[in-house]
Amino acid sequence: MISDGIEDEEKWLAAAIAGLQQNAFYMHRALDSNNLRDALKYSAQMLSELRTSRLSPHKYYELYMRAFDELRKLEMFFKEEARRGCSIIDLYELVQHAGNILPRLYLLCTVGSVYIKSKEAPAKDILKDLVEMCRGIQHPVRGLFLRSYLSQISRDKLPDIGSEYEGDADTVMDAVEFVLQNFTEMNKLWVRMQYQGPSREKERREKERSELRDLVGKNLHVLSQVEGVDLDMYRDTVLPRVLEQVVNCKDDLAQYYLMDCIIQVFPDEYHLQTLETLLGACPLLQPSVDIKTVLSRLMERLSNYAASSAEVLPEFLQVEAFAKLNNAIGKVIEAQVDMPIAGAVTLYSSLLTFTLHVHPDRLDYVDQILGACVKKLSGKGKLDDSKATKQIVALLSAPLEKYNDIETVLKLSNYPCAMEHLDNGTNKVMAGVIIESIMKNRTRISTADKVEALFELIKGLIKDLDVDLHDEVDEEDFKEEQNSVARLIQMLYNDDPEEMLKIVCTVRKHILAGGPKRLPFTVPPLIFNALKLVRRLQGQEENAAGKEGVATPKKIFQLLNQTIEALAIVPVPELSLRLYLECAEAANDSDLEPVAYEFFTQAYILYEEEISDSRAQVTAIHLIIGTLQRMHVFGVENRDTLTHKATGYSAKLLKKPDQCRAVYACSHLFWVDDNDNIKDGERVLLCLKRALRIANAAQQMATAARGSSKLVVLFIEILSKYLYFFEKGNSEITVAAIQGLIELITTEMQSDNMTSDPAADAFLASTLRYIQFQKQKGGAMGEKYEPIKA
Amino acid sequence: MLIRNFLIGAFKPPCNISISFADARTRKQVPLKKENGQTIMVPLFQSQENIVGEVLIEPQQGKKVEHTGVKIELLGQIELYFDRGNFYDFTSLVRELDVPGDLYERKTYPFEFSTVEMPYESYNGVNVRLRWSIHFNLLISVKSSFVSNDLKNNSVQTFIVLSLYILKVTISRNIVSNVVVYQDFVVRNYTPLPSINNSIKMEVGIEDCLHIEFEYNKSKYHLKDVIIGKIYFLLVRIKIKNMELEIRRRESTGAGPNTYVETETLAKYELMDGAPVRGESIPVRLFFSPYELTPTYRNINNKFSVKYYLNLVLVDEEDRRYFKQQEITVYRLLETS
Amino acid sequence: MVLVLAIGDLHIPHRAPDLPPKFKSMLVPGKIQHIICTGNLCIKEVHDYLKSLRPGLHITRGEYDEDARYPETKTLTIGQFKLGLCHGHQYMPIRSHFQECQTLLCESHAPVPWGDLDSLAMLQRQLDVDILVSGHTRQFKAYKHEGGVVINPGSATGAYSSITYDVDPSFVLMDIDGLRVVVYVYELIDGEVKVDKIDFKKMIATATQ
Repeated sequence: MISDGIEDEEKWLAAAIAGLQQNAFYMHRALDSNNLRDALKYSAQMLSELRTSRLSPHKYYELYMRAFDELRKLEMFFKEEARRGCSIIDLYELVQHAGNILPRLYLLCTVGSVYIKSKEAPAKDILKDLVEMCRGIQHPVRGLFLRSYLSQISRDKLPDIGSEYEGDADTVMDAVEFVLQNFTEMNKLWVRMQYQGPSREKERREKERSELRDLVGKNLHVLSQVEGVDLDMYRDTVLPRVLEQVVNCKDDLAQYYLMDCIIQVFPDEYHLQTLETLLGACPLLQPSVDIKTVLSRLMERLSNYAASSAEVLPEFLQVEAFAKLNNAIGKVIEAQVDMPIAGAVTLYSSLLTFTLHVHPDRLDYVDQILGACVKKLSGKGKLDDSKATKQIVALLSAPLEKYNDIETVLKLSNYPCAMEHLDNGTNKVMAGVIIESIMKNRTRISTADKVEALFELIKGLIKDLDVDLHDEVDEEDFKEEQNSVARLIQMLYNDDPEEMLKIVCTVRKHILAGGPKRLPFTVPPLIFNALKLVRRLQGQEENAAGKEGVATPKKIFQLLNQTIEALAIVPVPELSLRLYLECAEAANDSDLEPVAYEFFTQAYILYEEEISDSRAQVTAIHLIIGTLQRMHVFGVENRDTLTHKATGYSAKLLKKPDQCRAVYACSHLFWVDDNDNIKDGERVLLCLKRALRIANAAQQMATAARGSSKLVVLFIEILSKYLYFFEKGNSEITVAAIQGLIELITTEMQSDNMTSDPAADAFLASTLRYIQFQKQKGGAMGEKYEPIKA
Repeated sequence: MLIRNFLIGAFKPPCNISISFADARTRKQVPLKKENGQTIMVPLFQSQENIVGEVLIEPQQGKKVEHTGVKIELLGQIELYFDRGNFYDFTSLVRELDVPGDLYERKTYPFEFSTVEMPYESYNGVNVRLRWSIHFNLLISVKSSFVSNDLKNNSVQTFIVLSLYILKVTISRNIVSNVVVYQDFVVRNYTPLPSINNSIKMEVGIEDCLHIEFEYNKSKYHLKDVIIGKIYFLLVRIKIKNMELEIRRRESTGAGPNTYVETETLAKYELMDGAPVRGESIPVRLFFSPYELTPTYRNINNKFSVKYYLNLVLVDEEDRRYFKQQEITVYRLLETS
Repeated sequence: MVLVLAIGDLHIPHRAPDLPPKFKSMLVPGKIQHIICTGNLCIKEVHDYLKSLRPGLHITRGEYDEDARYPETKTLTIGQFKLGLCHGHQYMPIRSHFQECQTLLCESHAPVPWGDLDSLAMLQRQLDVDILVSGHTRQFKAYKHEGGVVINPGSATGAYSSITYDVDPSFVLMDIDGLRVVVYVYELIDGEVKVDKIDFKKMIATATQ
């Protein structure tokens, strides 16, 4: 049925166009032969096609445009006629003889245009007559198009200031009056459109109406273009009149569109100076009008205006823009009881944006807006309306973006309250935004109180908010979130160790509540933050010692020990082990032997009890050896214990090559270059010999199995260690031993059952080259190397 | 200007006769629609004017015209079409121009009707005609059979019946032959601006359905006038489609049971397109000039009257018509230019 | 001329929030032909960031890297140079499939002692590379050694280290051109980027072997 309707309409349009063209043809002929009578006759007939009621506005527009083009030709003809001496006044009467009103008025407007140009009568009088006569068309669509035509032909002929049609004093008033009247009438017609035809087609009609809105709005645009509409005129005449019409028409579509139109077409400074009037109209609009969007747009414009230049800011203060907007929003929200939460929040969000632009110094305003919003939300709990949620996020993000400083935002007492209303997911997102802002601006959070406030704000990321809810959290997302928290922890810093310790404690308190999933992410940064603090304390330990409640490394290590323990329980033994070792080394630097020993002990326990994967063991043992090698705080006994165990672990690794490498690495535990107390050449050699034995065994096993040559590299590695200690002056390492090893390797590599290994070859070659290099260097080292034959 | 009237086709006229007015060159000419539909230009007079002129008679070459008298007659006649052919002469002024005798050569007879009282204007209505003319009668003795065969021609006969009733009568007697030549002219009388000319203002309506108030700026309009007015919609509960203003002429002829009333709609002028809402006011501006109006004639010699009405018509979407008729007076304003 | 970015020990987010903005603004996509990273990024975001600078990215594993797929050592050849890469916390033998590329990256605790030049030299010999890039100690270092070069690009974030105090953020750009490599060291000291330049020439004798 609908498609039939459309088809019919196409037919009707085609017929109307055909009729129009036919008459236009005769009209052209009359124009060509200067036959005024026929020209009028056929033009009137042509225009009669516009009398149709069958077309939708869209199709009617098409027809109208064709008539419009034809009328331009007719207008030219009238102009010619007037030049040839035909009285334009007579012409003006003549066209009024047409019996049908619609063609008559189109012709009248067309002649009127020429009449104004002729200046035989004041433009204002003619315009007034035209706009008055157009009242005869009460049919909405036809009336709108006729008046649109009038508007079109009169645009350049208004008796505006500076226009050639400007008459005596105050004719600009007439120009304004004319446009206002046309606007008013058009709006009435437009509003009336909705009552035309059966109510079942209402929806379609509203759509059609919407398509015509610009015809009405055009008038406001024209008004904004009138030179003579200065602020005074706008304030005293234009705005009140337009608003009167807007309010009185009681139509939501029109009210919404026109309010928006006013806001968009007139200059910002006018809005600013007439804010009270404009805002005053808002609560008077129909409850169904989307006033929040209107107001938001207004505030957006004003915000942009404020942002355009600092010079305009005093204007805002002078007119108390904030108070007025705030007041208006309150009233609108009050008046529109049915306004969805999202709407109210949008309004506050816009006001906030405005405030941040205009009054960046007024944090109290910002808090006030948030407060008002929270009040509106009170009792609503967590919102499940995605629009409202989005708006709250916007509301909360705006101050972050503006101030680029979380500390400022933390001063807003209502901020966390507003955040409370976000659902868990969004709350997390918002927390992410907050962290992002901090990161972007590299804001340092410098007191424990602020940290406390901040963590309260982002608690959605710090711990599970709702115990019942175990939503499927995407693993990647979770990682990202937690990593962002980790980054955030890096931003918490105060130069004062006391405050810093408080910060560490505060963070610790919060992250320990995060549960096993979060700890692996949040504990390491805390540990390193604390270790940095420890390092800072090292210089000043003496003066601080003894005082109660004062930050001391010892105290911090105690905290850290417990913290890592929590992590170890998760369990993430490898990470915990690494952290224990980091702490141990820090304790070493702080000369706290028992503490360092405790950390090592913890690490060993983890190694023994928790780390079972062979590769993880290899990694761990090398870290242990590497760390232990650097420890200088231990007395002989402690050191022996730890070293003994490390060596033991090394020898117990699963794979022979790993054993071998760990064991020869242990050699360094007995020989520390810059520590004369730790230079036990014998035990170094023992380690290396043991490594050789293991390498040998490994080699034999491999050969028995498949004849792999890969393991020969172990011997070269051990050779390197020999050379290392040889150079370092370990007298246990003899030339003979080195020589023997070189020969062993060479033999091994040349043996028949060995497939060649280029890596081993290269390694050996570069090692031998090295020996050669050292020989040639001369001096003590050259002498030392001299006996070695490579 | 010389106007010739020939007796066409009836019979071969014995002479040519023409009537001319003394001020023909300067006098205004106006169109007059004749019975046959042709429009001719005729001189325009008004009451109290002198009607002066001359008649020129030219006998056929070498022919003698014997006549029993020459006279000229100014006639004001009313013809009612239901009684067609029966002219009622309300004015008849006769001047004897010559005693009986013979005419051998051309001769001119001057004539003059001074300050003629012509109270009624020429009028061509639906059922009635008011005609002003000058008739020139040449009473000719019958000498031979002159009835033309053409007379039997129907079309010609019709013409004669319509145009020259007198001739027909003469022939029927068949004793004498009257050569009658006539000259129509038009009389128009002018009225000064009325001293009192109230507007027409009225509220009309159908209860709880439609209330309007209309206002026309005057009650008396001259022929080139324009009606300025406004229609206010005080209450609209019907779906109006459009509104028109009609100019209607009511011509009433005869008297008593023989009264014929004919109403013509001279103008249909659309005032409004679409449905107004309460509070709308629609402007009226209707120019009279495109329409062929006459002044209002209240009572022309008890024979007929012509009256004008403005009829405001509202049409609703079901094509029901709601109207209100108001009489206006139309007058002929003395043109100053 | 080939530009190689050597970077490592970012320790994001454990020890540093991010790369210093000044570094970030210097490191733009399109200019660098290779990135070698010694490890300890530590998270995927950082990996993605480096990848955005240059998709061909060579990384070895640091002890805090969550991505266990990074190799312990890696070698690659750029121009005339063989580079070795290794984090340095640990040392494992080169696996055969890494031999096709000839640069070695390394952030090793191994060879023990950490950061010990002689130990690194041993690794360099083992990998048979001209340039060894390693990390872990946070301290920028570039040595000429036995005709080869040992470079530690330091920590790009200036991450806390138990080995080195007061770490300034640094990274290294190597401009490899024929037999010559110019090492530019970018250090962020008191908020200002300081650039040092070290020039190395590869000895032909080494190259031809």
